[in-house]
Amino acid sequence: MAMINSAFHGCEYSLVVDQHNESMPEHYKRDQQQGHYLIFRVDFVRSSSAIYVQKEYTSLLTSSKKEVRQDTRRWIYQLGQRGVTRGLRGLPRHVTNSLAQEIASSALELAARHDFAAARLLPLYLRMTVDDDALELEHAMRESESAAREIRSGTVVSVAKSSIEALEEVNLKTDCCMVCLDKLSSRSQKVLLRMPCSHLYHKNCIVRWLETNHVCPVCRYAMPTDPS
Amino acid sequence: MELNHLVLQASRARLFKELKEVQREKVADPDIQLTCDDNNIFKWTALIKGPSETPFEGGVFQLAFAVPEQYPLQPPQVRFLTKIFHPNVHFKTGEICLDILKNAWSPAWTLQSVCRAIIALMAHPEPDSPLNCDSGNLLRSGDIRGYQSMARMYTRLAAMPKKG
Repeated sequence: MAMINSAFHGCEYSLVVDQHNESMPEHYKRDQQQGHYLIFRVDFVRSSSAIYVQKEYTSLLTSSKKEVRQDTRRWIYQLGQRGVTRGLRGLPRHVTNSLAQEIASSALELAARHDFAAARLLPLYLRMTVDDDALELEHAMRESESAAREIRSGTVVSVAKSSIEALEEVNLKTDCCMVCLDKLSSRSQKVLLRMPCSHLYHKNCIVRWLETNHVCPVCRYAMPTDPS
Repeated sequence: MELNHLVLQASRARLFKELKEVQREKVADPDIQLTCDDNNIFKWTALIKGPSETPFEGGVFQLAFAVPEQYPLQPPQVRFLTKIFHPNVHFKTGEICLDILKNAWSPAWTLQSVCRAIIALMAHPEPDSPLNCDSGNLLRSGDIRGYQSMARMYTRLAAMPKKG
């Protein structure tokens, strides 16, 4: 049988060749382009609220899977924009893309089985059923995930302004290494060392100093010494 | 040899920075006049004004700096060229007993800030670590007046322009 069933992210669909609708609609006849067409007649059903949408769309069959997929994706996107498919609209782009790809491959698979010798047209009947519960569940999971991300990254609670002002600034262009008095951002000295007391020095400079001393040059913070 | 060369280069570069800074700061600190030997960046001299409300007021004291090649990892050697009667300055050699010139030295000090430290030492002598025992003993025995008159006399003798 020329029929494909599939379930995908809370969307179930079936795609069959519609034998009773083989005549070319008037507006397609006017199309100058020669070639074989896929005509999708779509019934869109939502399981819970029983919204029922009928729609048609065509795709020029140039045996290019990509084009059929793009047409399908555009159609799904348009449905979402009209607010018909609350669930579909909320789907992330990669899921919509995958869904469009699934439907497009099914359509092409059917087209490959069908004999186009007689007609330029392959009428298809697509029935999509959206499982609201499954979509809602996915929606909720995505939202709680992003909320958890916000809490983890600490963007939800802001810090006191005075605390920001109290933070110590380091300007590498104007602040100097207090050993050589050169700017911290030096062309010859790329690596800085931060002492436990938070004072910054060029690595070479402070290491040379600490080879014979154990205190921070600026604040005299004492570094641990060898027991010997 | 290679290491020696690098150390020398580092101390030279740092001293040139200090020289530039001193020339810029000349106006900022009227109590210190720090100059570098024209031919040797490791030899410096400073003229410092005796701090006010001390027996050194009105005097100008000359300091001689000998900067080691390991500078600023090692402190400069500083001594008074001008005679001074002070518990922490050797009366004959001018040697100065100041912790930052010895074990409390840090590369964060500069020749300029060492001068400031010496001015501070002139105003606040430490009689408990004397290089000039006579001076130290006067202070330790509480003879402030004796100390001040001796110090003022030597300031007049050695640190002030001769009259006439």
